[in-house]
Amino acid sequence: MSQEPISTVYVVDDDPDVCRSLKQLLESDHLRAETFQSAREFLDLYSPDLAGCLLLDIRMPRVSGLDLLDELNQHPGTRMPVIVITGHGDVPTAVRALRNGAIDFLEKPFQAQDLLDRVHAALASDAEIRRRNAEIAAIRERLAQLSTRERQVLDLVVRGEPNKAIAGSLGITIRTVEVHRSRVMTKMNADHITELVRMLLQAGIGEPNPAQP
Amino acid sequence: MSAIGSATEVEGAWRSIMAAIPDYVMLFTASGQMIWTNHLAPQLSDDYLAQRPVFDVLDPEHALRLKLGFERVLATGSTEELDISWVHPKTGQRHWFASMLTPLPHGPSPDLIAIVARDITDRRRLEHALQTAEEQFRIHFQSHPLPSFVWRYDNGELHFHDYNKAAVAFTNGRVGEILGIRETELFASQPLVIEDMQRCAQKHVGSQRDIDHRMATTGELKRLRICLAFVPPHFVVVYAEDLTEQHRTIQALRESEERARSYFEAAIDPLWDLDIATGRVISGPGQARLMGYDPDHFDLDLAQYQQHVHPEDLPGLLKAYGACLDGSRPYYESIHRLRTRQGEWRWVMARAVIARRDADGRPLRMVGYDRDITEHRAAEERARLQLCELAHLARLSSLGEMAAGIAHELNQPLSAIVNFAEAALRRIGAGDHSEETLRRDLGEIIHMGRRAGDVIRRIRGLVSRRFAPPTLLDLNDLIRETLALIESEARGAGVSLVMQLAPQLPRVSADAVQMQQVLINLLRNAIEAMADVNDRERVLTARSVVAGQSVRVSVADTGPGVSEEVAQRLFDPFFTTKTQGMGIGLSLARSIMEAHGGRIAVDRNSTMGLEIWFTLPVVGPDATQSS
Repeated sequence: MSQEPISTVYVVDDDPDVCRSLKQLLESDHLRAETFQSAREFLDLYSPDLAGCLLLDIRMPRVSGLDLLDELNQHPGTRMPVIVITGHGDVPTAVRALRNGAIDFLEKPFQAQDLLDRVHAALASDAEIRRRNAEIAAIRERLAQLSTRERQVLDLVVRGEPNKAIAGSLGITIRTVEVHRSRVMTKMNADHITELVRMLLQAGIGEPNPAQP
Repeated sequence: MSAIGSATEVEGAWRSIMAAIPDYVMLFTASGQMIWTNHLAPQLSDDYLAQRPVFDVLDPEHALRLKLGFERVLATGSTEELDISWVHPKTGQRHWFASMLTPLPHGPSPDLIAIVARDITDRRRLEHALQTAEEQFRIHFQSHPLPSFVWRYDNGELHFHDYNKAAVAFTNGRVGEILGIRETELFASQPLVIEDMQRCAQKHVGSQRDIDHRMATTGELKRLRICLAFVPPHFVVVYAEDLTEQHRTIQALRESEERARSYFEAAIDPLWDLDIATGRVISGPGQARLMGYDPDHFDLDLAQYQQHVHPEDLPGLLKAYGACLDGSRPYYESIHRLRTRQGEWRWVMARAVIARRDADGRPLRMVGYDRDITEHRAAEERARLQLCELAHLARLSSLGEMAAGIAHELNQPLSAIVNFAEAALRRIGAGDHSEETLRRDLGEIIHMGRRAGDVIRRIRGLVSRRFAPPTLLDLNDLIRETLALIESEARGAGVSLVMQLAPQLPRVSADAVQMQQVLINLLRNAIEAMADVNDRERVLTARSVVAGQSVRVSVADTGPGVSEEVAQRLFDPFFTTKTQGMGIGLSLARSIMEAHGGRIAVDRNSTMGLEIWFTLPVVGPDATQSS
């Protein structure tokens, strides 16, 4: 069902029975699940490359769920979405978890469908983030392949400067500007000037200047 | 006159008269030569005095006295009396003579001295004897160990006249202060003594009387025995014997006898005295009353007594009795039930010792008492029930506090059940189920159901049972169960649980619920104590070890610990360091442990945190059989 088969639900709960039941539930919905009985166990395995989401029981000895969130926050890079499971009525803990970066929380006892819906949402969000991150990485890679002159032309093009103005400000012929522009479009894999603008915005480069099409 | 006409006749008549006088009449010259005597002492020869001067006959002292007497009477011309003594030359006996010396002027010729002498030897001897006797009396009187007081009788009045050394000591040296006092003054409060003294003085009869008298000299109140004796010519001697101590001793002895008798008769604990050989028992009325009999018609021997003992208690009694007889126990002690005449059962604690043994050390008599402890046991039972009730209330209260943790403990298996069931349903709905997966999920559901049931079972014990007889327990099991109960609470508080249990524990006899309550209290205190610990791990360690004849269980935390002052008051009722709670948890824990014959204490010696331990006595093989 999920678009990325390697996407996994990581379940951290010190109660082995609950771990097992959650795994069964997730697998019955064709989700991949891996269980850990302590925060430490999970942290030992964790890397930012892992895709999926984290289902975390907040009541654990030694390293509590909140501590685990703190540690995940200190890892560089993108972090998988975290759904926190709290005891019934433990609102303060839920609030603290959300402040520490959890995207959602589930209060025990919860409905299976509720859990699955949230897990799916979290996985989708994770996949979306990863997809976008991949795109940005690709854009940046392409940008890196441009020559200095090509990059100068690109910057002026996305600002909406006409070729004549670009040739003027760079001290080159209009013809040369056209050649560079065409090469930039090819290297950046863009069909149209608006696409080029979107890419740069996505990569967080350049000032958005949609004034002139 | 004509009958005696001539001088010769007159002289003859004089001689006859002189010879008839029993006294000696002698004429001496101034130099001591006897020139005439009316008759010689029969023991003397005619010429004894005639041949020498009288001064040579006498011993030197008397010779000098006589000579001086001669000179005085001759010089003054007056008569003089002298007692002269001499030793008879033949018999060697000393004779005394009362002599009257009279000068006889004799014209120009040497002066003559007439001596009329009476033999007073016998009188002198008597006088001497009297004097000696008096001296002896004085010595005797002075050295008499009894204080003695001499009263002089004069014109119907008695005055205090003299006293001896003992009297000085008797009055602390103050006896001299009352010299001259009248008997009516000194013994104003003792008319009978005054009467005695007067009778003694007038009729010369002694007497004896015991009086309680406040001494005029020292002010002490004394028990005195007054003996009176008449001493001629007009003295009454009062001997005073101090009976105070003796009286006190006798009084004390009498009282102690009476006390002993009244103990026997009125003792709260009925006393008895057993003749071991015959089984005969002498007992006070208390024993009769205890057993519901009339004290006046109560006579129960050992065998009959034993028939009154509850059959279940008799073997124990006989064992204790035998152990005392054969010396393996220094005394006999037995707690048993006695049937009264009315058929009631009374609890009795009997204690006794061997009171007499024969020459070979075999016991002859045993003396002891039967104490009625029925009320005592009832009170103990009431106290026990009260403790149970209090413990029950405390359990309910702590269950309330533990509710969140218990709810979580229940939620875990319940949510697992739901998850497993949902998973199974989904698989069925999607058609990708198999018999194998269904079996697995159902098995899981059953397993989780049991787990939830266990939680309920643990709590049920705490809420429902109030009064339960002690059972044989393995404290390790109890520790495991109890840790399971508080596990989620510990988890919620970020506390890890560590168990260090002895591999094998002997059984103890205890109320399982109350023991669990004590453990819960210790464990939850420990969890609470570590709430503010952030610089180290929060670890709760439960240990069990065998320590001699006891099992020792301890609960240690890694919290901040407590001060010495707090440690000492930790088990006091209503003492608490927490902002919440009444401070009865540990005090109740102590009551519970003590009711089980155990102990509970705090150990601050560990490097950090607090360790509280309790012990319970190991059940001996006897008790195991009886339970």
